[in-house]
Amino acid sequence: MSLPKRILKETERLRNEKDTGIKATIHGDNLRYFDVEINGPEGSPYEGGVFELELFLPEDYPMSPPKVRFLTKIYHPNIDRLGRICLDILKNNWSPALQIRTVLLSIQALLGAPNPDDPLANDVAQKWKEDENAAKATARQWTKEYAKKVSDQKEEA
Amino acid sequence: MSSSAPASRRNSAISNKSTSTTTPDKPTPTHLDLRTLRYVSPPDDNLCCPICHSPFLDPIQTRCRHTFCSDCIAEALKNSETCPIDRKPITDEGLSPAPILIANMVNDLVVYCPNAENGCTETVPRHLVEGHVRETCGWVQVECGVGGCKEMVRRNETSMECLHRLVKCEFCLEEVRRMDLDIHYDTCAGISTDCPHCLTDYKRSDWKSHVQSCPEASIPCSSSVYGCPTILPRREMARHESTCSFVHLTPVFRRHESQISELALENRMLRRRLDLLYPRATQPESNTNSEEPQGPSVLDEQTYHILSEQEHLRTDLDRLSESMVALEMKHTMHFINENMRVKEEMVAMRTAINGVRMQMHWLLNMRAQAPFQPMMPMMGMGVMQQQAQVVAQGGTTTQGGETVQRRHSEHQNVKL
Repeated sequence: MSLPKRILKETERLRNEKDTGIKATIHGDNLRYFDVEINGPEGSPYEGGVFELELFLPEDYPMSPPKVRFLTKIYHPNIDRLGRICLDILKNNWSPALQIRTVLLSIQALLGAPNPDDPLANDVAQKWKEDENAAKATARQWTKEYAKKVSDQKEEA
Repeated sequence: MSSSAPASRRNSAISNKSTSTTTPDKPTPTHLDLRTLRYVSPPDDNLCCPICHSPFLDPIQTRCRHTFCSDCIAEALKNSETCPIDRKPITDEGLSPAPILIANMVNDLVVYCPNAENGCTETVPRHLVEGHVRETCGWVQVECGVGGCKEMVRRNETSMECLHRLVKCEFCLEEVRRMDLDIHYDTCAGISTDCPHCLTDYKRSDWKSHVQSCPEASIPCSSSVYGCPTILPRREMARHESTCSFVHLTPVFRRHESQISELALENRMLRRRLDLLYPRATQPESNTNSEEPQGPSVLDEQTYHILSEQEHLRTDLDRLSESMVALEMKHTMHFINENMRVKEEMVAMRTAINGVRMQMHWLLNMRAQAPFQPMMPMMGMGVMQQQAQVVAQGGTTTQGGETVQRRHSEHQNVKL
């Protein structure tokens, strides 16, 4: 099956996306596989971090949701060690009217508003509920440690 | 997503309904995929389906008053019976054709002809594009039709004359299709061309052989491989070659060349044999790529290696023989010492035995002279002395007087 026109259009639009703190670029020559960068939202423990994700559009996209996974380590009750994300629109609440851009914005919003009542990483969620400040401190610590900008890493090197 | 995907029962129901209601004049067997059309100006986002992001095709409105392409919403409802925009539950019954206004707006969007890549420059409103392709587009393949010809031809190339008719090429008299004539002319062997050197006309078929012999064609000197830089027209080359020193020397060059190649061959063979003889020495050589200059030094190296090895062995041998002599000396000394000690011991033993013998003589004489009874105490003493010998013979000493006596007598017989 050839690439639907919609994917081409979305890719084109994502290329021009500049100021929302999300960035998706095609990985290699697979037009269904994207390298994603999401900036941690302001006011959250993830602020200042740049998180890398991978996004894959399945064969029947947009009828089924894209597959998204964090590549950067992150301390978040709805994201597990493998980077899998617990987000309704990526599962049963998917709608074909959604698109890559809106999915990534939703993930960014999830970073700003963790939901420990619907956890994927149980230990993190437990910590989050018991001592939110400590959990946020850990998240901040992890952000500092793992979610660096590439340019920052270069400076350090 | 694609319209070619197998449609479910529901899907087909919807599209049947929609086609029958919105575009009844739409020809059903169309191979034109309207989704692939390119729009002249970027379409308004409000006229684009939220699912396929293209201007609505056959727009359908839900009960919650959102609009989608009929195919898109049908496909989406297969996965989830909710509106993709607001997730309100909807079913097939909740779908109805969108307002005519929307359908007209998307149908009036101007698109490029699908044959634009082939050369058609037409732009038409979308609802006319099918008619354009079907009726007027000059870039569509159609049946030739002239004289019942069934071959396909571009519509703008159809004329009174059938392009598939075979015509004779006026130059080579070969039969070619009318439409292929232009291409044929490019390669036709019958067409004559000017030789670029002598400017004479030649037929294409003869031209190749002519260039090989054209007197005006510039050729390099036959000794160019040996360094002659001269390039002259063929007719002047003979004169040049009669004076060219490179040409005169060519036989010498050739001889040298063959000799060098022979030597190289021989050298290679010798090296291979050398490698077989001294496989250890070849390892450093294998790292070096240049063969000729390395040859003698490798040989030296090998000889040197062998000589040094021999030297090593010689010194080893010397050292070994030296230590052997020393060892022998030591051994002899030891042997002599030991021997002397044994000799001394033997002398001592001999004297001791003599002493014993003397005593025995004395005792025997005593017994022969004295009566038996009073000799008993003396006998005891004699027995005690004799015991040592008895033990050495492996016998058991017994305290019984009679046994001792008997033995004594035995001894007497043997020793004396």
